[in-house]
Amino acid sequence: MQNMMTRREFLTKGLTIVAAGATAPMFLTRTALAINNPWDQALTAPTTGRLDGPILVVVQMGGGNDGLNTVVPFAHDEYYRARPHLAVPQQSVLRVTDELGFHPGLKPLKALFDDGRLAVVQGVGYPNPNRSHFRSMEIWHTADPAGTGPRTGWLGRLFDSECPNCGPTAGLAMLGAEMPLAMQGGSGRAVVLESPQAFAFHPLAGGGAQEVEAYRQVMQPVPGEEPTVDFLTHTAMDAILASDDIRRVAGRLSDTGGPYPRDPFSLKLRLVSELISAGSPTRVYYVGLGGFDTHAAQAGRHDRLMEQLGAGLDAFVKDLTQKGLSDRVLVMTFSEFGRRVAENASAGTDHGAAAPMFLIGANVAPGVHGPHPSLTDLDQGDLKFQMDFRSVYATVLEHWMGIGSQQILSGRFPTLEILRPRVGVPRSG
Amino acid sequence: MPSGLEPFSPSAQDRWDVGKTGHLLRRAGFGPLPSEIAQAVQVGPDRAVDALFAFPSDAPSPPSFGEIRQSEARVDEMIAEFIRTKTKPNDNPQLRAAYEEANRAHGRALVALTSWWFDRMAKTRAPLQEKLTLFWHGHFTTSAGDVHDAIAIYNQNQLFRQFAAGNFARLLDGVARDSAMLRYLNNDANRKGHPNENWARELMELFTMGIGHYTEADILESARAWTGWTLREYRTFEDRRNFALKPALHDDGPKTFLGQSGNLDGTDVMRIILANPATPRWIAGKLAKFFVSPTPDPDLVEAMARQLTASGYEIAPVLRAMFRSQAFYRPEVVHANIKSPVEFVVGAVRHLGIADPDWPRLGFLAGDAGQRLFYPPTVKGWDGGQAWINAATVFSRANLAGALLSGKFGTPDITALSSIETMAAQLLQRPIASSRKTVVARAIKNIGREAGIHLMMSLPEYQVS
Repeated sequence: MQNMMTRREFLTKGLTIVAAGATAPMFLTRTALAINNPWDQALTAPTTGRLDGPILVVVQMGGGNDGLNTVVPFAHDEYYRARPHLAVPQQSVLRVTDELGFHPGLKPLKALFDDGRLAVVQGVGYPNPNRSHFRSMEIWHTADPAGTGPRTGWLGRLFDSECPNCGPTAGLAMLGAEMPLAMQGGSGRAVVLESPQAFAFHPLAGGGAQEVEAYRQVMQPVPGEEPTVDFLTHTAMDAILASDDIRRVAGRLSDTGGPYPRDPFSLKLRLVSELISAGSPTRVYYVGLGGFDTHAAQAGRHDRLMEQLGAGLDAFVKDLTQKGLSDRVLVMTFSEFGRRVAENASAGTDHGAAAPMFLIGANVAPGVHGPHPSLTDLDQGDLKFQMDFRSVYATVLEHWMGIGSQQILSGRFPTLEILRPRVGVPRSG
Repeated sequence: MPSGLEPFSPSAQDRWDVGKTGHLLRRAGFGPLPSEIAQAVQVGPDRAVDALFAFPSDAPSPPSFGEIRQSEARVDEMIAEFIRTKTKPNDNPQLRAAYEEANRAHGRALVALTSWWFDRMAKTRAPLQEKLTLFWHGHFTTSAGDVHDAIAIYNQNQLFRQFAAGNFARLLDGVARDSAMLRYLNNDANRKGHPNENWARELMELFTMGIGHYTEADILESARAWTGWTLREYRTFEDRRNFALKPALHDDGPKTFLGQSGNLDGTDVMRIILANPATPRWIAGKLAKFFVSPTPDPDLVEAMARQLTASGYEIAPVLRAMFRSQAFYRPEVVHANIKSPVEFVVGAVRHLGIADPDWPRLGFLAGDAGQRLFYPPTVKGWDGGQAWINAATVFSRANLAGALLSGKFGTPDITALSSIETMAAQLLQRPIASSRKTVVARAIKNIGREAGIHLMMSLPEYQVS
């Protein structure tokens, strides 16, 4: 019985192991030959060193965020007519243009906007909007509205094609205990992380290193096992390797960030900032804020969510700036859909369609991009989308990550002028 | 006998043995013990399956809600006083304090209720009843995060237990009138002229038909039909736990729902949904996914759906046929499911003989591993299957087993787990792969018996069901 190999051994001997398939961790079983692209630094960069690749932080607002009360069309009477109880009063809107302004809870984001570090993309959606939370969330995660492609996530495919030698922590999800579909690909290059301390096998008192080693050994796959057992062993091997990575980083975590609010969303962002500054090789972080399904008594709930979102992102950006890391990080917010234009009887709103997205970072082209969707020309009571979300993804992939988007998105979507080119990233036509 | 549900008949080549009964009892319960498995072998498939359906007729006594009643009574009195004197409570600090105390009482009671249910799962003589209660909780979801009312959540839990293997049409009717559900999906606020679509949508998408069998217009028409299915006027806390039909709030105008027109109400909507062929398929598919395999055989699902229709939606007969079927015992189905965190915790407590477990803390740890009772992540419930397992939950399960062994959550009794063979029989209900056996044996010799048990409970074979 051979001992578990170290990750470095895997990477140096990896290609011979791939042939054996069954005994390699999932993230190596489909490894192509190493390609020297800026994304694929697992072979070239020591995990302890400071990397300088671009980092994407996706913020998922689960439940369907009310876009109209987030970026408020305060100059439009139709908005106030449709929402007698829920409309944000004109005097509280934080105006950013002659017709639009932010929800008052987003004061910190308004400051980022004024500072030229926040872009708003208006009316983002997709054709034939689906008003089911799950189907619509699946569409955003797979970037496949027709549902005809493989059930993998757009970020999972990014890791598969651009990052063949990245380790299992190329993606880190902090959304709860489940791995978001967006990060699932053909190979396990993303892990779910709730706390770095818990992310390890803890031996019994007196078990020590001996028991940890035994755990590594019993988790080795055995050829010919049932598919479910096989899936478990491969996941466990990825976990063991990722755990080594995380613990190396966790050993360097310092609680030096500025003050963050105490809610779970902000604390996740604080951990992201810590991991980045500790040199984690992670390229994409996925953070969730839930509770946006405001069918009833929306006002107070949505106000609090806006405040949470604003305060958390504000603390995060300030922290990164202070650490000199803000140039490396782009934040992108999205929700599975907006809400219906008209409020319902429960002082809430029902499932809708198009909604705005935020991009936050040093490289954004600041301002409001795209006109506000019409409040009168509606599709079954909902705003009509005017910007396909896959164009936003394509822009992030090409102009921020510096990689082609066509293969990942199974099609060519025009990029938008919402990001300034990063140094060294060619602009695609 | 329709194809898809042909019964399994034991033969010399294919015996009714511990492999089969272990599989049956794992799926129909929580962490079966070797004695129970041996008993099921002895009585044969018919009696083993029949025994699963011997549900106790008496309702389990609930945890005490005395503290809640007291704190609510104080609020109710104040409200009554405001009503009597026609004063507006505006921001009355005493009222606010009394409200907050009631909220805290509910929080404590929800922890107690979770512990009560866990304990029942671990100790019941009718594990299938609790397994089905858990199934319905994941199907007709309600989160205590939204409905912070321990009594309403308990009432819903009892509804699921009462109809666990009963009639689905009656269960559905009970759910439509259930106060926790009415609040969770806002039908309590769905009234004439201002429909709230939340319940109408999820009723079809998740609870009965599945996506793709109706249009957005059907959802709106259904929402209109459900107007006025609400709660009693809110004067006391208890009013919020009682269903009321309010004609004044009901839109009794003509509607067209799934092709049928008339002055429909909620009862009509349920009748039309239950008559739609998508519904028995959806329910059969969900039952098969939960009990048989993440990718159940379409013939099996189709046969179960036909039987549901033929029996007028009786659940017990279709489950009985499923547990007796060849399809249920196929090799590719055995070990194809993954234990949910709740199953894992309850099974581990049973396997380790922990008589008085610290359920409140174990409940939170099951939550860290992905399943917190009464707090499903979304209205869709828990995805289950491989979604239970990722790099983080692999560790949380192994560490949970270690914490249980260490006596942090109650005193284990592991005298029965004296050798690697007895460990495998009790924990895995199957032989252990030889390469792993060598490692575990070495750990037992060099570190101790507990380390061997810990490793075994960390194995992939212990995570599957």
